Amino acid sequence: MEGKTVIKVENLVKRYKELVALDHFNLEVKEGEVFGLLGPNGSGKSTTMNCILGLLKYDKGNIEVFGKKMAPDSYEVKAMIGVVPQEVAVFEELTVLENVDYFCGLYVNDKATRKQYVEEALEFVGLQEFKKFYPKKLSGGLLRRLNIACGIAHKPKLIFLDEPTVAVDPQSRNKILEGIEQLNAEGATIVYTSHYMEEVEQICTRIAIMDGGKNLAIGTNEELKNMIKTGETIQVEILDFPQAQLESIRALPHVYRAEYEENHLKVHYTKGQRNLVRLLDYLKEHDITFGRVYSELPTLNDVFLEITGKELRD
Amino acid sequence: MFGRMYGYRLKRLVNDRTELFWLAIFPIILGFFFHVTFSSITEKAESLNRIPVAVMLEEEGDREIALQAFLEEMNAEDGMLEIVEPANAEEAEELLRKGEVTGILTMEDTVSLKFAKEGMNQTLLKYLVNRYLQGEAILLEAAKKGPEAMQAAAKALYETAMKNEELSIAPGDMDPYASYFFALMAMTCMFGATLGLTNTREIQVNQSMVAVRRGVAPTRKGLMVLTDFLAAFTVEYAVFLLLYVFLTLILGIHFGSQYAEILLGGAVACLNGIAFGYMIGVVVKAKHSVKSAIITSTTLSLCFFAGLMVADMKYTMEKNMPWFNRINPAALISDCFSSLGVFDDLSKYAQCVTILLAEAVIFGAVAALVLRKQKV
Repeated sequence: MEGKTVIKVENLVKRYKELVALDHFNLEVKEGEVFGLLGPNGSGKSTTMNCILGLLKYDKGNIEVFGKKMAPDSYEVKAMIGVVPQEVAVFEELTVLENVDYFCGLYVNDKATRKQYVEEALEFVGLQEFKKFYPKKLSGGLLRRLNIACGIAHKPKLIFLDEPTVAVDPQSRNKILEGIEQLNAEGATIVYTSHYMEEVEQICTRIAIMDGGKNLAIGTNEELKNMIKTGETIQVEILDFPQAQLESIRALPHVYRAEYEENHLKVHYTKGQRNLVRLLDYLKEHDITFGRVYSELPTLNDVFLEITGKELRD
Repeated sequence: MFGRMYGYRLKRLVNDRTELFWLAIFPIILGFFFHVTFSSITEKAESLNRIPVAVMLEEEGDREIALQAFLEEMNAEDGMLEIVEPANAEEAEELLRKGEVTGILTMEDTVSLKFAKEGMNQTLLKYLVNRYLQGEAILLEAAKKGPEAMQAAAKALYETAMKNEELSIAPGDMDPYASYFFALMAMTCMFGATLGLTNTREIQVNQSMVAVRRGVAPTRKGLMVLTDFLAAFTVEYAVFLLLYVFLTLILGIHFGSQYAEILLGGAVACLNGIAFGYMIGVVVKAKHSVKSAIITSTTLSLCFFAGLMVADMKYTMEKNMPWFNRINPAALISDCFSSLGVFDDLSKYAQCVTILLAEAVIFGAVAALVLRKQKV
């Protein structure tokens, strides 16, 4: 890993009475990364974020942000951070423009600079036309964009985004994801928490997979997929597949699992090449008629499944 | 930064239409209804002058003599009654039928009244007779216990009578039903607690997402608390002034002419209400809706005991639990304003303002300590 360490979390333990929300959690985020915290609901993503931000007291461990220990009065560090919480956090009684100006004003004192930043933030999220609107007049997607504008208007070097695309329409979701990539391209380090693996795969340069308050695996998308056995999964539609053939299929090179369910033969390969050709040749040789054929590369869900034994979507 | 934060906070509080309705519009509506109700009573009372009553006392016993003395007192030049002594029961009935007397007063085992209809005069007559009967009962009961008890009872009745007289001839030009409006102003000031509660919701990170966003900003929490508090005070004091102006200029209620004292008392009362909301907001560990319910029920209860709904309640509390009136902010606010019209000197007013201020400081200090302990 290159670049300066922006966030360093060591042996973080956070308990809620009997429940261990974070169990000796470790994390290191480097400058310029889009770092994804991926895990199902309740895995500890938001707790991690809140501890890093100093919003939650933790029981054990050490947290450093920009090389400094994070505390409620770490104003210098806080000035470099932007936060987009999971729930929309704006004042219903202030307009779009006033909300962005208010929150930006907590970081930027100079009036002219702030005015410029606010305009840029509104343009960035595409809310210029709505600046005089009150939040209750905005759709869910536009509200999410306002939520983002309030968190990034002051041009932070480190941005935390907690599930920013929950309950938004596809158009707004794409706009948000593009925006995150743009912020990163402009130099911001991003910590992105989500339980949508497609999003994490799409935008994150490194990913930590979390479950039960533990960090199960960290790496790039490719590195994580290389950690698991599954290299490729091939599904073939077969109306009448003799069960006796399953053992022969399992004996083919690189096959580590094969099953036949609901008119589909599903063959899991480790790595290897020409897996598809080899399987189709086998079916032809044994006069097994087949229909549609699908080949899938492993997803983060497969990674999660293999590490935890359960689906990420569960 | 201070001015901008204060300005936005002010805007945020003023634009909260629901809260503003309960803070500013509701008391005005209530004040208007009070005015409509009491002005009709006042008009009728003014048109009454003296109440004509036919008195039929046949025997000449001790009780009849005592009642006769009371009636003569009431029949004096500045008394409330105009005694008519008809020759017989038929004549009395005729006077009642023609409406020339309000009622017929007779005495057999006890004093009884006969009316042809119900109305303001009849109510007042009943009230006077009841007061007389209560006094009579107290004296008779005391007489059974001996001369000392009798003397003490007579003294107590005399003091009550003197107190009533003192109140009725109090200096200034205060409206006779002003006590209801004082309680209304107390309610308005106490409702400032909702602003305090709103402020605590938006500064404690475990209470709202807006607080989270403010909590991660590099702005000192103390500055946020200060600007929030000042904005809440500005709104609440403006609401108080609005109600005062509405009551005095629009409805024509007279609260006396000690304006500086009224304004100072109002400021301290608003401070007390807001600080109370702050304390509940940070001390009670519950959802915002629960805290809101606590604030509403507490402030309304305090106002009830201060005589907002039943004017006699404050006097009942004074009789049974006087210490409660000394600490109930609503009663103190009401007393603070009413004392300006009742007493010549400001000692009672100063006492109320001092206690209100002391309570505000205690509420505020508790809130500040808990907020400080929260750290994040």
